[in-house]
Amino acid sequence: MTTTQSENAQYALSISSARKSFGTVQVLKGVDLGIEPGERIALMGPSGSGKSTLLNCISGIEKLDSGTITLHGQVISDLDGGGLEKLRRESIGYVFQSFHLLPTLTAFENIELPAQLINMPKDERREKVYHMLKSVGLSHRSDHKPDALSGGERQRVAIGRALIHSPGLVLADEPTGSLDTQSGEDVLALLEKLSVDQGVALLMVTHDRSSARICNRVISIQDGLLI
Amino acid sequence: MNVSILILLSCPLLAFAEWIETPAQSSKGHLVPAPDYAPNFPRDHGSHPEYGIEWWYWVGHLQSADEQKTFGFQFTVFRIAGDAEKAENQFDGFFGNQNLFLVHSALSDLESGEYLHLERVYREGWQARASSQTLNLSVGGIQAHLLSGEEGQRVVARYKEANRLELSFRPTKPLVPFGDRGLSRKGADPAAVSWYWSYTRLQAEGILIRDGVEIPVKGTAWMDHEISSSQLGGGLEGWDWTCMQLDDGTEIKAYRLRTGAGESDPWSAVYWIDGEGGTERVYADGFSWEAEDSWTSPNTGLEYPTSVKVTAEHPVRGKQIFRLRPLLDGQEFTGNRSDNAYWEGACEVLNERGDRIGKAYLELAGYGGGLGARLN
Amino acid sequence: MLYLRLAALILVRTTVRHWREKIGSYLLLLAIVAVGVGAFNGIRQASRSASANFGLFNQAISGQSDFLIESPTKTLSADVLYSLGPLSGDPDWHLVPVIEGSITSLDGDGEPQQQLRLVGLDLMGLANLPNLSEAKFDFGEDELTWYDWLGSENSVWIGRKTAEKLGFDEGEAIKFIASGRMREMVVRKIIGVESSSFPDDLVIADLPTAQLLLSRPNELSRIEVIIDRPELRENVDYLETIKSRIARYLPENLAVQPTQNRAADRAAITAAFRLNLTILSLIAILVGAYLILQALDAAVVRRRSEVATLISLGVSRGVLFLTFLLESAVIGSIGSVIGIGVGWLFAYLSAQMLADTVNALYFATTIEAISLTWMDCVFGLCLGFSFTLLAGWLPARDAMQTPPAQVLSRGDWSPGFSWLRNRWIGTVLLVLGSLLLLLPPFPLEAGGKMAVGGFLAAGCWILGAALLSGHLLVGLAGLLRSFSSSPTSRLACSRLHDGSSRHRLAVAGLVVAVGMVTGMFQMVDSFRGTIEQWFNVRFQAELYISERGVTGAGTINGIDPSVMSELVQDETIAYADIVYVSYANPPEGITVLSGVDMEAWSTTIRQLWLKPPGSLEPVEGSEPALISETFARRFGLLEGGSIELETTTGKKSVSPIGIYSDYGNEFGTAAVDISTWKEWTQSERPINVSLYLNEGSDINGVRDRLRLSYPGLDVRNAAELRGVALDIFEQTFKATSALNGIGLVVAFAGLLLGLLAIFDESSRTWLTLRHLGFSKNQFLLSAGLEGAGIGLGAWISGSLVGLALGWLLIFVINVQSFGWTLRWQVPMADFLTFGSLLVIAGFLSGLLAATYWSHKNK
Repeated sequence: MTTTQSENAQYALSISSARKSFGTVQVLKGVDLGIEPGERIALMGPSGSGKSTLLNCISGIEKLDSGTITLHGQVISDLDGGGLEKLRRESIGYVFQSFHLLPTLTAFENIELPAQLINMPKDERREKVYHMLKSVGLSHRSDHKPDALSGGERQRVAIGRALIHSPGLVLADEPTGSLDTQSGEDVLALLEKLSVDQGVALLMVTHDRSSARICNRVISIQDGLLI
Repeated sequence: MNVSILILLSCPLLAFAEWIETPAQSSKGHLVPAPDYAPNFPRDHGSHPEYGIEWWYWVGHLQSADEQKTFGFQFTVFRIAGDAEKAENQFDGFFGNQNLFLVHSALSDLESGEYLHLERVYREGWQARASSQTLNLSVGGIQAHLLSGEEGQRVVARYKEANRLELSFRPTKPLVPFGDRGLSRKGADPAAVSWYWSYTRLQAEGILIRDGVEIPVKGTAWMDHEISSSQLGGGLEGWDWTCMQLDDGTEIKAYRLRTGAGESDPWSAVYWIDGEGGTERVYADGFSWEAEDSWTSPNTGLEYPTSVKVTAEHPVRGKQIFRLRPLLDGQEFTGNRSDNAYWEGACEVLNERGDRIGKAYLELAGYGGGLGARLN
Repeated sequence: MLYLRLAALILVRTTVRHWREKIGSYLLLLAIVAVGVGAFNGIRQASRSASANFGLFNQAISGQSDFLIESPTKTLSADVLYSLGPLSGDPDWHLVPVIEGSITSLDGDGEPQQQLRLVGLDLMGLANLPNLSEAKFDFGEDELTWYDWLGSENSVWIGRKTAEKLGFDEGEAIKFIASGRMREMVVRKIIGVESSSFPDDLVIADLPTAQLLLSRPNELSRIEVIIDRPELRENVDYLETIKSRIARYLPENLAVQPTQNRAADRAAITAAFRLNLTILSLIAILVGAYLILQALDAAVVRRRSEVATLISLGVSRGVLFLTFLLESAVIGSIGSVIGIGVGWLFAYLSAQMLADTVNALYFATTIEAISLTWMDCVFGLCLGFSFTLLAGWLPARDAMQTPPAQVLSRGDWSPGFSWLRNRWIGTVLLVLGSLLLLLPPFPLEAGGKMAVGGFLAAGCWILGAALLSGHLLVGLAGLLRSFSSSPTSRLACSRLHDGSSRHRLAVAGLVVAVGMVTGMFQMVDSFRGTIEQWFNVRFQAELYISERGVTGAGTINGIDPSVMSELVQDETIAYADIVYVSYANPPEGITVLSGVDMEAWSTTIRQLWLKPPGSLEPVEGSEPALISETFARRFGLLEGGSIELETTTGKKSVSPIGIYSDYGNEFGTAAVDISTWKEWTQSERPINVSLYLNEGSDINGVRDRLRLSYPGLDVRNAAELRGVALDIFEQTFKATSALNGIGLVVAFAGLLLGLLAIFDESSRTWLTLRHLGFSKNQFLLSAGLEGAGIGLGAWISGSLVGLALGWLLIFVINVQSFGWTLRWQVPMADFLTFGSLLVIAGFLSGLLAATYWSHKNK
């Protein structure tokens, strides 16, 4: 194992010299970042600083122009489409600002979906979903569809969905951005608890300082570089 | 099953020589054959459209030139007249309605056991014409005309599958007119008479085309030409008829007219024809006709008494016994209609001792339904 | 397998649930598939049903015939029977001479009531037929008095259905007309047959009776041959042997052919017509496919964020592609099954119309019951399934390519459909279409031709125009925008000018329908105009006389020659132009041989001459003839030459001395002198006569007088004849009009769906405008103007391609398929009317879509 590799092995997520442009606009200009297993990082920065782009590159939705991203020792920036899909199914959980629950699925089914995607056996899966629903405090709403849930409830379902398949890393993009203060507080607390309980690394993009309190570290990004 | 039927009449023979005056016309208006008519040939070999029913009939036995095969054959052309009022008009168009023609052709292949037969019905016209001036028949698959330059006839008969029989017939005896005063009587009904002219022994020679192979054949034949306007008397169901050609050069014609009750009509008859064509005759009281065996058709289910014993009193020679045995059982003729079946086939003639003394053709008609209505 | 499982999971959990919520849209989609499949299948079935009874009417009685003996002119003298020699008595087959002709029964007032087919057979000969011995019906207890009904003067037998329909009883005397004569027939017996194949317009008589009733003494139509052994009917070798045996003895001018050939021949005669109709029915499918594309694409739009979410959850793009494709497949399957039923209904409704057209143009036919074979089901299923799948391919691909990042962050994304913005594809298609025009026509049986190059060019031009129509729309909107001042019109123009793919799709679909419809408009109008011009020139006589009561080109008895000769003696007649017509066989197919007064035709009688008489030198040894343009094109005689035609009396050579325009038939006509015609055909029966009356005659007075004197003849003046001809003309285009109508309805349904999708996609825009104070009425008006703009754009593009299609139809397809030149007419009034209607319909569609959208989103 090389030095870099041995360095990367100790991180859940390791980003090295990540660069990404959209047309003539350079959004990431050489980002370096390491997140240890179970560590919770808040990524803050003004609008247009590259936060969401960085998240997209980590999840493989966007591809870096140059640099590497390593997740649990595997260099993911070299993966092809299929590999990235597998990555997203198995290793990453995503929480969106706008929840992005599937409108035709119930709360139960929304949470269940990632477990189905990784072929988890049915009994085990259902047991986990029930447990997760309980953890997010929505056992009584398991049969409700998103349009019957409040914003906070939807986000809790989304968190449950992000964690059901025990990923090594959860990416949260402004998870409280669409919520009122109280709901936002509840969601943050839940996020913290579950990620601690499951030992999951968390990279949360936020522009709200108070949200960052659930994190171990706060990193700022500006003009495509971490400061 | 042997069924014996013996009819002995107590009335004297003379009663049946009694003359019954014939009417000029039948109930349908057709002419009735007149007595003492002297046929005029070749005209009378042709058609007689003013008369209701007419047929030309040939049967015979043939042997192939290499003597390996033997055959029996039968062709009949029937003419049935329509409206008596139109009978005089000679029709020469395409689709007439004054006469109907029926054609029966049969061939018995005695070695292979096959029996070919076909029936066709035609209206007078393009497919069926019969000259009234001479023998010139062109009816479906049968063409018949007189030989030119000599006495005799030429007949071509077509069978299915392109089989064909072409024969020339040359009489070895003069034509025989049957019946008293030239009228053959078939029942007590005054109109039940016919002109019945036969060549009782014809030399036959020609070609049989069978399954594409040409087989030269020769043998002997019998030809009937009968003209009447009413064939069977009322109450008659059918007939058993035979023509025998004995090896001694004589012939016998015998027929039993069967009544509805299963008895023989008194006008049933036996005729002996000598070497010169002279005839002797007895009616029903002078002969008996016994069935000695029968055959049931697997096609129609009808039972035909195909083995018969004819015992007849020759006016001079006394009692004579003839046994007829079919050379092939399955010689049942079935036509287009299901109720038109009869048995007609080549037979051998045996004497009392069982020796073969000649050959014959036997016809058993009316076993499937009343022919009376048809032929009146 | 995993892919399929996941796709099925997503299909069930999301797609099906979306269907439940938008059941109306999906039902509409199913309806579109059903209509597409139904129109296409329906035409096929109707066509087949109308073709099925091209066969032989006496088959209902005598069972299936195996061979036919016919002359090239399709009539025989009965004398031929005597020339058949050994054929006539051969026991291996039965010869059934037949005469057939149309008669028209008259009602109590002497008016034509019903056209019937009189078939004459040797009724006695039927007794020999193998299938008839256990008779399906018998001619009654009459047997013993056979000579009463056989060869009677007027006894006929009628089927139960006909008797019931027309109220005929046994023993009743019925007046009728045939060959220009009025006669009477007596119903001897009504035949009750179980077999439903007994046509309900059939009258049977003994053959000589039929000849008498039809005033066609000594004539036959054909001789049918039935083999004696029906069990060998399917044995090809046996049939070949029989055929050779028959052919060996057949006189030279007669031909024996298997009956299937005849049915095939008759089907071949109408092949061009039916093929054209089938191609037209593709309109519904083309437009339908496009609509499905639009609707499925709209579905993808609505579920865009869902798709993005699934991708972000790790669902592979392949699975998503499969999911959307599965959705198409399910719609295609269900829609096709419904379509099969729709097709049957359509066939049922249109079969009679089709048969009427065939009757009018070609020969008599009746329809058999519409049958739905398993082949129809397979065909319908495959068709609907395929075109739905094809249509769904693009949206599925689009779904697969959704960029989740953009969608998830910005909430919407409009598909590139970059190919829609690409001018090149459309241009290449236009050029390709032009090149395809160089392809020669494809020969069909019976001498017809299919303009393959023309149809392919039409397809390319339509598609090319559809693809380029978006650019025209953008340009048009830009132009209109500069003239618009109100906010509603500005908004509408700006949205159109933006040229979103959804707008481009909407206008493209409409262009397909508009183009085809305007192309057909022109062809029909040009045809009508040409026929009218033809009439103005050609039909200059005062009165026109033909056999009365008979409709249809092929059911001709002709006119009894004695009636004709009596008629032309009338003192008011200055000149009678008598015409004789029969079929003849060129080397391939059939054509028409006509007998005319050559001198009059070459000098005084007017025609539309392509090449006037004398401009072509006849070939030595050939009979000089005046030929129709169709004949000339078909046999390559535009510059002269000669061709051999088979007639009753053998092969005869004709050579043109002039070429005229004729729109009476598509097989061509060669006209020779009457005496020559009579010699060649051995017939004396004329088909019609044009009367030139003495100067000063009272035309209508003479007409009325002749009508009274000859109740069996149709006597018309020029105006009435023109009316009849135009009626037939309209008749022939009924099916076309119906299909056009369907195409347009489908297209407008598509516009509606398309606008709905457009508005759905712009939800954010509308909501923002609402926040800005845009009123509901303003919104509706803007939507209406947007729809009207699409309608206008479609009309302009559609008209341009429609003009090109019109040119194509007239100068390429018509010429190659039917061999005649039409005068191109652009019905400007109709065009403008159509354009106005399109704009109005577009406006209304916009209003409707917007009303629905706002109701849904209030």
